[in-house]
Amino acid sequence: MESVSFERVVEQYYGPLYKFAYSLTRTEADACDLTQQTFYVWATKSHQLRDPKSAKTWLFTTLHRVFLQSRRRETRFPHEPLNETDDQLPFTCPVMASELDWEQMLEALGRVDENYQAAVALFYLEECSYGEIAQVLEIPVGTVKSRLSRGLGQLKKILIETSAPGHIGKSQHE
Amino acid sequence: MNNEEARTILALYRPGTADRTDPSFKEALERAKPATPAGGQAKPDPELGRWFQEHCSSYLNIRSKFLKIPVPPALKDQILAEVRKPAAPVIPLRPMVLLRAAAVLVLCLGLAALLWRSHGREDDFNNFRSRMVRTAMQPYGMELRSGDLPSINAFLAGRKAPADYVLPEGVSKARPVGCAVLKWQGQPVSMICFHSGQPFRTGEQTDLWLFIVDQSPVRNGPAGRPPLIARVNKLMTAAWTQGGKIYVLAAAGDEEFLRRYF
Repeated sequence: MESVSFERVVEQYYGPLYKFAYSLTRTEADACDLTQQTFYVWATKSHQLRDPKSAKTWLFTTLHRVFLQSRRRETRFPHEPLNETDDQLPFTCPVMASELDWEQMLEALGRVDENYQAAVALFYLEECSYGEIAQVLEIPVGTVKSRLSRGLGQLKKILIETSAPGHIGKSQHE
Repeated sequence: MNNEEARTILALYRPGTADRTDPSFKEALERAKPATPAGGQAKPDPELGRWFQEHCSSYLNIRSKFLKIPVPPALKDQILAEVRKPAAPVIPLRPMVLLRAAAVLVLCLGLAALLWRSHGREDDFNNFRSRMVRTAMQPYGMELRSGDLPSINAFLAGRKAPADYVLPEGVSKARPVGCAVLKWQGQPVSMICFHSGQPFRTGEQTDLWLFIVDQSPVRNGPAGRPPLIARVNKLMTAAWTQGGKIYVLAAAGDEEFLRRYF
């Protein structure tokens, strides 16, 4: 790959990748490192990519894979099988979201079950189709939807708690 | 399809995305949208329509929060500086040249395999040191700002990061600025930031970084106490092993500057 096109790929995707990384790690240093590591892998392995149009999915998949590798070394969290049907379907709460800032939103995401966080982040951050999200997370589309239903349901409960009187305030980062 | 089934499906619908043309949403959308074309099979339901409008509004609201995550302004330059690949050479298509190129390629692959075995592993010390230098050079969040070393140690211990370290004499005289806990290969790394006493450049908050990690997960670490001095990227580093821990001290100066701390 030529240097110019590498720069173009960086220019186009470093922001979205960083935001995805930050949603997963919620630490600036770790998110920067994860993003850099992803582009490092891209620089060394992107020649294996046959379809240039899949660059975005490839980058997000790589970032998620690197994140999972680091998490697995850190702690082995149970990877429970998920049913395709689920009873915890989200409903809407338009008011509560508007009261929170992005840090509080990510704090809420951090309290969602780890298995669902990446799917929820991609649901909100990226304009990926469900097929693309499935590729990034390396799981079937049905499992993506199942995780999303559960994850969004949990997020909704957390947001309601956060927005409850007496709970609205700045996150601990500030 | 009844209203409940339509809600179940539409709860995962994202306005303004490819979901608009996703066939799995088509029928549910027709039930919820007031402007269903005449002759459509599904009959729009006002209650479902209201719910759907709220859902779309909620989605866009939450999405706007996620999109506000600030990206460090220096990140792009950092990526380009770290991972800049040379342009591919143009190879003349003459048989002898190709043959020579193939021989060189085989040789390079052999060397690369050897290098990978000795240095290229993810858990190799060189990778650890590079990662730490990258962290020091890029924008990072100092988790605790404090000039008090006992407070810093208590914070690190609370985060299960190395806190029972031994500072070289010179470093112990530098003024602590704060600390953060990093992760490398799943292991906590203590990063303690100091001020050397020299004037800061614009935007700087620290100019001396000490990284400490347990020795066990790091391959090919420094043998012992005499510091191993090496320039990594734009920083000068000194690395040593002491008491089962690996230390990397990084500074934006030359070797002479760094040796003052030992």
